[in-house]
Amino acid sequence: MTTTDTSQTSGAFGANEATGATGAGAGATSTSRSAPTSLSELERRAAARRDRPSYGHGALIACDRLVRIFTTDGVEVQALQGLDLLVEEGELMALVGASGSGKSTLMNILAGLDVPTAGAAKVAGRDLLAMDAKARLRYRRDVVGFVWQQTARNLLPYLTGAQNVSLPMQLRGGRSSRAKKAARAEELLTMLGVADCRDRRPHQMSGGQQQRVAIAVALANNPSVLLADEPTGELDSATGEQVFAAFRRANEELGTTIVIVTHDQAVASEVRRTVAIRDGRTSSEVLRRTEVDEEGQESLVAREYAMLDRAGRLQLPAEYTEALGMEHRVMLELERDHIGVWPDDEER
Amino acid sequence: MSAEPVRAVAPWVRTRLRTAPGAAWAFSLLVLVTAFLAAALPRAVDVYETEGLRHDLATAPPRLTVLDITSPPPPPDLARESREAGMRPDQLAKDRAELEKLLPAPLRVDPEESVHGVRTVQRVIGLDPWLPQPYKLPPEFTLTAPSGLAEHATVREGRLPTKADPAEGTSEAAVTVETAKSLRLKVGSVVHVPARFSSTPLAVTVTGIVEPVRSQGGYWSAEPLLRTPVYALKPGGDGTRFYWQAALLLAPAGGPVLLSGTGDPELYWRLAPASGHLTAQDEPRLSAAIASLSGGPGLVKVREAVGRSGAVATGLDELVGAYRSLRAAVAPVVAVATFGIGAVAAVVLAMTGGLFAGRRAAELALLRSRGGSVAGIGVRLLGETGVLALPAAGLGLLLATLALPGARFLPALLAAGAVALLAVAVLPLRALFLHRGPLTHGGREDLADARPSKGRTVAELTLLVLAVGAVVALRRRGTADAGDYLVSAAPVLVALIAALVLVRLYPLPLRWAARPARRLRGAVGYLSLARAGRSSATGTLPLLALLVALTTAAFGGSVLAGVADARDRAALRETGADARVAGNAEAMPLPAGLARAVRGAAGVRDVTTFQVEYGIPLPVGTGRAAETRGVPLIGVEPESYERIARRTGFGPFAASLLKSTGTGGRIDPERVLPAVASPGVAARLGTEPQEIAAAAGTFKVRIVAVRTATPALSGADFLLVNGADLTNRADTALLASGPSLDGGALRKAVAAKSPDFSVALRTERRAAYVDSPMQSGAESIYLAAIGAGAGYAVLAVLLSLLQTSPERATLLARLRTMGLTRRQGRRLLGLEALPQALLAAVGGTLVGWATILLLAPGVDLGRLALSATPGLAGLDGVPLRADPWSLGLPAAGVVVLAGAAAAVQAWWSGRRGSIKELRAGDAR
Ligand SMILES: Nc1ncnc2c1ncn2[C@@H]1O[C@H](COP(=O)(O)OP(=O)(O)OP(=O)(O)O)[C@@H](O)[C@H]1O
Ligand SMILES: [Mg+2]
Repeated sequence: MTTTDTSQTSGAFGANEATGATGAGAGATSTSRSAPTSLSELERRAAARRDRPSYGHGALIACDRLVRIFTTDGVEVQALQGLDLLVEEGELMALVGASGSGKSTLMNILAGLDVPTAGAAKVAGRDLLAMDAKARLRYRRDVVGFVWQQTARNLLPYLTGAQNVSLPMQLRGGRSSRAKKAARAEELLTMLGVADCRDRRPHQMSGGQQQRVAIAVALANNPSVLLADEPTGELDSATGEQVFAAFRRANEELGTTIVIVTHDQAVASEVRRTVAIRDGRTSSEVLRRTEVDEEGQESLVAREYAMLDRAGRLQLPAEYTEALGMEHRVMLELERDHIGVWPDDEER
Repeated sequence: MSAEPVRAVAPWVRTRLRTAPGAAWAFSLLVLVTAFLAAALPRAVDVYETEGLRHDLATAPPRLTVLDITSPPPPPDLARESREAGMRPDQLAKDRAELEKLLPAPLRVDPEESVHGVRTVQRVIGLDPWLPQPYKLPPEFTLTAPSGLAEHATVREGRLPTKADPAEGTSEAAVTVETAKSLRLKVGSVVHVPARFSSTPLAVTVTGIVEPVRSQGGYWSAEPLLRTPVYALKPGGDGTRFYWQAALLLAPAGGPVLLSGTGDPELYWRLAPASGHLTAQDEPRLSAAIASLSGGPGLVKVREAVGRSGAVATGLDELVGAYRSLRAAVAPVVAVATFGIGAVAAVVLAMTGGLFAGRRAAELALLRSRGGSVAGIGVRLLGETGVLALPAAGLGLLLATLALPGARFLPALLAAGAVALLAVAVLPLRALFLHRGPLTHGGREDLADARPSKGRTVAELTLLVLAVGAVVALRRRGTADAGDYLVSAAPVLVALIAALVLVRLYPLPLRWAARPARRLRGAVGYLSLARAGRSSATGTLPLLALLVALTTAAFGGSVLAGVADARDRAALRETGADARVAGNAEAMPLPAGLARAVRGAAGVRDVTTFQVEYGIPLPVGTGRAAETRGVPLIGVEPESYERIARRTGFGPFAASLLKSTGTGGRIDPERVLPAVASPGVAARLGTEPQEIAAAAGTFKVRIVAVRTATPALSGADFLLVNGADLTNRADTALLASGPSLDGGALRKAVAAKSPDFSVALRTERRAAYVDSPMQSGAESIYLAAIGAGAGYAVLAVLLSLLQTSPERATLLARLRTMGLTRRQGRRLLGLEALPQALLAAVGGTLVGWATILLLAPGVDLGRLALSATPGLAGLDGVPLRADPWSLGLPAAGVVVLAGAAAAVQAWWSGRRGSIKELRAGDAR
C-alpha cells in the first residue's frame, strides 16, 4: 500500500473537502422548475423512466427499505427500520455502527440465515424474501460465505484446517472429487498464508490463524459475497491487521465482494467505502480515494456523505441540527448546485 | 492422498466417533444394555412360561397326565380265536403305533412311560385262604398284562412271566416286592381267582418278584396299585373293616386269559405325554388337541383305530386349564413391570438423543448455516448413531439369546429392533427438529422462557387429554377383567399425566416464593429459586422418566411385598406357629417329656401343647346353620395357647374366657364347658349349652367367643375348650414359637423321643410356596424390573444434570467473578436441584400410590404367591396394597442422588478454571 491516510474524518461533517451531498447511488430527483414541458419531452421522459434500470440494478447487494422486527415474549424490537444499502460487485466495504444498531441482524439476513420482515433484498440476483427453503440452502451454499467474531465458532473443533475448508464443499455435494476438494483447500490456505495450519485442529492454531482458516472456509465454495461480522473482534490489532490483509487478498485475487462489520477504526479506514448504520438505518458513508496533488504527492482523501434514501429522506447529523436549533421543520432552498437548509424562522 | 497423515476431506462418521470416543462408548453401552434387557425380557417370560408348563405336566401325578385310551375286548359273538387274536400283544402294539401316530400335535408320547395291555376293570377276589385276610375279607386283585415289564422292572427273585394259556385259564405273573411282602406271595405261589363260566378258577402262578424302575414314572404311578398294594377300608358296614388290594402282573400273552375271568377285561393304551418339547405358545393347541381327543375329531380317529367303543380319559385338560389361568393371572402383573421399564428405557434413550443434540447445537447450527441440508445432516447423524447403535443392539440381542436359550426369537428381535430404531433415530430427529431452519448467528441460548411455546402446549394438552381419557376409561371399566394393555400401561399413563401437569405447575409456587426471597439477606436463596422457577422447559422428560421409574419400583415393590406377606401368612397359617410337632397319624398322644425337650431346644421361646380330636359330630343345637360335618375338638392350655394366638394374630382371645371349671377327668355329661368356636360351629350350636360326645369326654359346651381362625388348625371349623376340663386328657400336638428357632435341633429333640412324630417348620412351608417356575420367574422379572428401573432413573437424573451442566458452570463462573464463594456455589447448585428432585420424589410417591389404588381391584396376588392354593381359613384373597417402603425408599433415593450430583458438579466446576466459561461473545 502506497497511499497514506491524510484525513481522518471521524464524523466531522462539513469539513472542507465535503463539497455537498449528492446522494450516493440514489436516483436523480432534481427537476428544473422553469423547463417547458412539451408532449415530446413528456414522452421522452416516460420512455426514460421505463428504460431506467430498477433500484440497485447492477449492484451485487441491494437492500431496499429493509425491515426486521423481533418479537420476544410479546415485546417488539425493530432491529432494522427501512435500511437501504447497495454494494457493487468486487467491492470491499465496511459496516460500522453503535452496538445494537442492527449490523448483525443485517448480516444474518444477507447470509440467508434470517428473513426480513419487510422490504426488499437482492444478492447476486436472488431475492432474499422470496426464496423457499431449498433456494435458501442453495443460496447459502453457492452465493455467500461468512466469518463470525468468535474464532471458536467458525470452525469445527474436531476437524483439521484442511478438513474444515473441505467441509462446505462436502456439504454442497456435487461431482468434484476428493482430490479436487483437497487441492482447493490447499490452494485457499496457501493464498491466505495459513498453509501450515492444514493438519492442525483449531485449538492448535492462534486466533488469527483460526480466523484466516475461517476465511478460507467461507471462500471454499467460491461465493460471490463474503460476509464477516466483527472478524477481528477477538484479536489484537497486529493480528487483526493480518486477518484484514487476508480479506483484501481474497478480494483482490478472487474478486469476491466482501462486507465487513467492524468496530475497529483501523479496518474501517482501510477500505474504500465505510457505511455507518444508526438505529437500523444506513445513516452516512465515508468514501476514500487516493488523490495526486500538484506536487505528485499521493494522499488518501476521505469524504463523508449523508445518505439520501429513495423517498428523498435525508438524515442530518444530530450535532448539526442541535447547533442550529433545528427542530420539527427546516427551510429548504434549491440552488444551482446544492440545496440550502435553514432553521425554521417562522417559529422564531 | 493416502500418504498424508490426516485426510484433507474428513470421513464424517469416523472423524466424529474419534472425536468423542467416550460419548460413543457410553452410548453404545447404553444401547447394548437396553437392547439386552429388551430382548431378554420376552425371552425370560417365554422361558419361565415354558418351564412352568413343562413343570406342571412333569410334576403332576401321572394318573392325571396320561391319556388313558380304553376299549372293551372284541365282542363275545365273535369266535374265541378271533377274540383272543384281538387281545394279543402284537395286535395291541400295532394299535398303539397307530394311536401314537394319530395324536394331534403338539401332543407327543413318551414311549418310556407309556404302556398298553389288557386289565380287569373290576378287581377279582383271591380265593386262596392263605392270602392275608385281616378282617376275614379276601384280598382283591387287579389282573393286568402290561407291555414292557422287562424294561420297567428289575427282577429280584425268580423270572419274568412268559407263559399263559387261555384255554387252560392259567398264566404266569410277577408281583412287586411290596405286593409280595404285603400279600405274602413268593415265587411259585399260585393265586386262584374265580372264572366266569367254569367252576375251575383261573390259576395265576407267581414266577417273579420285581422291583419297579422309576416307580414315580407314568408306567408304575398312573395306577399305583400296580406296584403298591392298598390296605383299603371296606365300604359299607361299620367302617372299621379293612382288606388288601393288589395287582398281579400277568405275562404279556396273558390278556386273553382274562376273557374267562370275572373281572371285565379291557384293552388299554395308557399313553404318557411327553412334555419336554412343549412351549408356552403350544398351550392353546395343546388344549385343542386334548379337547379333540376326548370328544372331537380326535376321538373319532381313536375309535377308528381301537374299535367303536373306544374311550379316552385324561386329566390333562384340567392341568392345562389350570396352567392357562395361572398364566393369565400372572401375565398382566408382569406386563405392568414390562411397560414401566420399557417406558423408562425409551425416555432415557430419548434423553440421550436430546443431550447429544443439545451439546452439539452450535456445531449443527454451523453446519446448517454453511450449507448443510436437512437430509444431508440427518443422514450423517444417522450414520453416526447407526454405526454405534446397530452393532450394540445386535450384540445385546445375541447376548440375550445366548443367556436365555429356548425361547422365541421373534419377540426378542422386535424388542431389540425397537431399541435400535429408537437409539438410531432419536438424535437425528431431535437435531433436525431443532435445526429445521438455520439458526441465526448470535442467537441467545440461555433464554429460559417462562412460558413454553404454543405448539408445545397444544401437543402436551393433547397427550394429557388422551392419557386422562385412558385412565378414566380404565377406572370406569375396572381392572378386574385384566389382560389387556391399557391396564398394564396404567402406571405409565398416570406418570405421564403427573409429569405433564407437575412440570407446568411446579414453577408457580417457586416463583411466588422467589419474590419474598428477594428481600432476604443472602442472594443464594433467591437466585436458586428464581432459576429453578424458570427452568420448566427442560424438565418434562427427566421428570417423566423418574416418575415412571418410581411408579414401577413402587408397584413392583408392593407386589413383591404383598407376595412375601401372603406367603408368610399362609405358612404361618399352615403351621400355626414357628414350628409344629404332631404325630404321623391321628390321635397319637405326645410321648412323655417331649414338650420339655422341645422347650429346651435351641431358639424355642414358647411352647403350647394341645389335644385335637377330629370328626366330633355336632348336635343340631339352636342355631339354624346347615349341616356341618364333624368338627375338630381342640383342648388347649389357655394361657400359653392364647400367647401363641396373640403372636400369630389368628383368633386371639382372653385366656380367662376358657377358665378351667375344675371338672377335668370327671365323667359328667351335664357339666358345661366354655368354648371358643369358629363362626360355622357357633352358628350351628347357638348360644345354649349343647352336648358334645367325644372320645375325650362327654360334656356340654357353651360358646363364649367366636373366632375365624385359630393356630392349632388351619381348617375353617373348630371347637376350642380348656384341655384341663376334658375327661380323657392326651395332648396330641405342640406348637413352638421362637423367631430364630433351630429346626435341626428341634427335629433331633423330637426324634430322640419318638420316631412317629414329625416337625413342620414355618420357614420350610414358606419356602415350599415358590415351587412353580411361573411364580419364581415372574418374581425375578419384577426384581429385575425394579433394579433396571432404578438404574435408568439414576441415568435420567445424571443425563438431565449433564444437559444443563455447561450452563450452570458458566453461571457459577460468572457469579464467582462477582464474589460468590465455593460454599455458596455448592449451596446454589444444591438448592437449585432440590425443587426438581423433591418434585420427582413426591410426585413419584403419589403416582405410585395412585397407580396401586387404580390397579388393586384387578390384581389378586394369590395366584402369584401361593402355587397350590391350600384353601386356608382366614386368608381370603391377597389384595395389592401400597407398601410404604417401596413407595418411600426409591423416592428418598432420588433426592439423595440429585443432591449428590449437584454437590459433585459444584466441586468439579470449582476445581476447573473458569476461563472458558467467561469468554466474551459467548452467548451462554
Ligand atoms: N433474536 C433476537 N431477538 C430479539 N431481539 C433481537 C434479536 N437479535 C437482535 N435483536 C435486537 O435487535 C437489535 C439489533 O441487534 P444486532 O445484533 O443486529 O446489533 P449489532 O449492531 O450487531 O450490535 P453489536 O455491535 O453489539 O454486535 C438489538 O436491539 C437487539 O437487541
Ligand atoms: Mg453484532
